[in-house]
Amino acid sequence: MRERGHEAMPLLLSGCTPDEFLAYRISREVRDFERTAVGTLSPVPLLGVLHAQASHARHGKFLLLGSGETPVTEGSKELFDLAQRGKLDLFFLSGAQIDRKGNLNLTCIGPYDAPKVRLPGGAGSAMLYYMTRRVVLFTLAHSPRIFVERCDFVTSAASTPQYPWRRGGPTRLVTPLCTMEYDARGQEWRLLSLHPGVTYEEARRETGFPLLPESVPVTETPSADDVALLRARIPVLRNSYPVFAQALETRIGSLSS
Amino acid sequence: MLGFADSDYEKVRADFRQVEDPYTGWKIFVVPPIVPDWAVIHAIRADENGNVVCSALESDRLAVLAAKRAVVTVEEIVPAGEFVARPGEVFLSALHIDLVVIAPRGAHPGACVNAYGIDRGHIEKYLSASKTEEGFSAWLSETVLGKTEEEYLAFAFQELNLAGKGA
Repeated sequence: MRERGHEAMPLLLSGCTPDEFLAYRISREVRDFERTAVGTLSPVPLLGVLHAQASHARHGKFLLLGSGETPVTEGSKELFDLAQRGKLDLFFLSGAQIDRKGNLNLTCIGPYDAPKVRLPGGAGSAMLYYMTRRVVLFTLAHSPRIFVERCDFVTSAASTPQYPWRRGGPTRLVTPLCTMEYDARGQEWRLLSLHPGVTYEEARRETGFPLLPESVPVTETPSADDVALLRARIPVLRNSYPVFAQALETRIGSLSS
Repeated sequence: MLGFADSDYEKVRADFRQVEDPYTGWKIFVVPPIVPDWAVIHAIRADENGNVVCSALESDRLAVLAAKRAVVTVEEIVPAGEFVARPGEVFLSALHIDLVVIAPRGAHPGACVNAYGIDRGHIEKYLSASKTEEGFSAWLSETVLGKTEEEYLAFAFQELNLAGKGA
């Protein structure tokens, strides 16, 4: 039942923590002049977006739920309505299971009528996956239990060929081991890069569906300036995730000692 | 509703129906409205006329508008002349409310917008207590059952002050 959490990553990093590395990778997905939103339970994407907002996406519009950075009148309702109107360009989702075809499961492990684990539910992710131009998936663990051939329950469908007016869907997947790219034509994931220190064999073994191609570049590591900028954004992160921010600062502290 | 296409909701939610949008001709899912018998929400303040200002960030106002009958508990009553909605708050007319109850710290151990935050210590206590039936019963009798309003308030204020999250 053990999973490889981000603390046990085989990553070879110098000068930054795994969380900062993943946040930086997420920052690279944020584009200037777009509307980007971050939902709840997403500290690493929030840190990445805060980095982007202060570096290459200064003209973007950001809806960061619970942060107080971008006041909205009606909270998550306003996020959902924005996406329904087709005005959200980038959002971040995760899943208890993510399958080969990019479907997400946030509903239950095992059969729906007799689940082994009942999960909190989709909370709008089906619609957000469908109506956001680009959705970047992230996970804080990488194992065959998460990356499965087929989700036990499809809460959010990655592709809907019989509905030609779908607006967007998955584009990238960022895990503690690698990044993947969604091939919208083949409707499946392709390996895009391996994080420093991670072998192809390791990523393949921890993934429950075929992982190709075998030969990919190493994921870009943040520069010293980028790491400094990520750390400068932690006070803002703390407003939404005080416990996470505290733990991150502790890990940063133990890096330099 | 957009987005239910090809998801497994189709298999388990017979009440989510697929129809043709009469305006565009697209296939689209519709879901029936939720009409609660009662909505009970906690709000920030009321005026003497029963108008209320509640959190804008959750769907509290929507729940009241959707329900057949609604009860709103509030932190305090303020004079109508000083009755305003600040950022993060929204006005809710007495028109939609059946009963307003004054209940200071009524959201404890949850948060009340612009008044106090989540009582993390208490939530953690509850989470570990509720892992077993016995633990949950003990928690219930320690904090809820047989407590008067005054006793609970004293307890909640003490916890909030300890957490340093008073208004």
